[in-house]
Amino acid sequence: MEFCGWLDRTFRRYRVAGEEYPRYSVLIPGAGESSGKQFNILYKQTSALVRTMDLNTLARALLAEMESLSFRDRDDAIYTEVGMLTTNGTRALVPGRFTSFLGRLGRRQIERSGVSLPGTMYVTIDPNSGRVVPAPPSLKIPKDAFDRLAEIGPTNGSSDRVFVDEPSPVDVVFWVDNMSEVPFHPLSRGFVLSRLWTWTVNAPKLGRTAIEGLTRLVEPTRCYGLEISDSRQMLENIVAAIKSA
Amino acid sequence: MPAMKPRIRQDLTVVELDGEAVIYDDESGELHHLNPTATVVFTLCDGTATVKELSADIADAFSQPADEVEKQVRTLLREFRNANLLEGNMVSSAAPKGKGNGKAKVKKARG
Repeated sequence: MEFCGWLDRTFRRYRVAGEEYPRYSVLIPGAGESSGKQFNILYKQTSALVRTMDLNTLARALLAEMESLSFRDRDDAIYTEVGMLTTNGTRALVPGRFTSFLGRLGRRQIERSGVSLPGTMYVTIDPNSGRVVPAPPSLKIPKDAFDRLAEIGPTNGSSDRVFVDEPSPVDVVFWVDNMSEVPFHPLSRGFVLSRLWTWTVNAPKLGRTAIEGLTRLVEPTRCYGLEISDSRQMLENIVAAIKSA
Repeated sequence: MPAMKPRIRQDLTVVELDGEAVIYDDESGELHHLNPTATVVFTLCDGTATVKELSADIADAFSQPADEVEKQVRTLLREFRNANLLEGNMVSSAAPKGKGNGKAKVKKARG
């Protein structure tokens, strides 16, 4: 109930009267349920977007999803449905819908892989530099919203997911290739550019600006197609592809 | 009647990565992705060569039979015309005007 109070206070100005079909739901372990050892989970309809021990991470992921609802109509940046993961200093993009699939793994499996999974299903791209950047906030929430989270439940102080807090170049772009019969294989940057375009939710609004910005993002990267497999194997393939350079 | 010399529209945004052209058409809102073969033909459409001359150049460069190359080039040019990528296209009454229907579209031309 405490997290409900936090939600109510944080998003109060966006509350609607009557009932709406819930797009998102949140599972927070109760105080009496070994809350330090159970996941907090953010669901989008029936998909678990983010599973995390850290309440701050969950709240940030939820806020990012709320922000994403406005991306289609915005022209202040490029908004693409891909998530950014990191491993050993390398930044890689993966299709946003794929993130929850990877997140099915247990916490220890993910830690052992050395990969930090995305905290958001979208990245914001500066069209002039081609770097991923923090999304300019459009929602107005209380300034102390995240400070108050620590009063509710466990926060680790550092997130176990990747959030973009500063402009960052991307090193690798992955695509899930349902025709692939090898764990991973190089993809042309031209192909990946065309795929990123289809996943850019405000591409029709930005037009030429989007294609030029996405080109700047893709140009310095390596690109790989991933064979569809189980979560553990795909995570291993991601690591192997990154190390293969 | 003089032979046509195909020329790509000058208002298209074209980027080339790894030998593949990605073409944005602001008029229709569509994106086109060409494989390397189609990209070669596309980039040669500069309005200075007829289809036969263009095909002969490609055949020479790649040591391929000229008549086979010309068949492929003509097929590709038809695709380019259908996608409204060349100057002097006849726009059909069914073609979208303005910025398309709001959805991002990608078309691939195969060579």
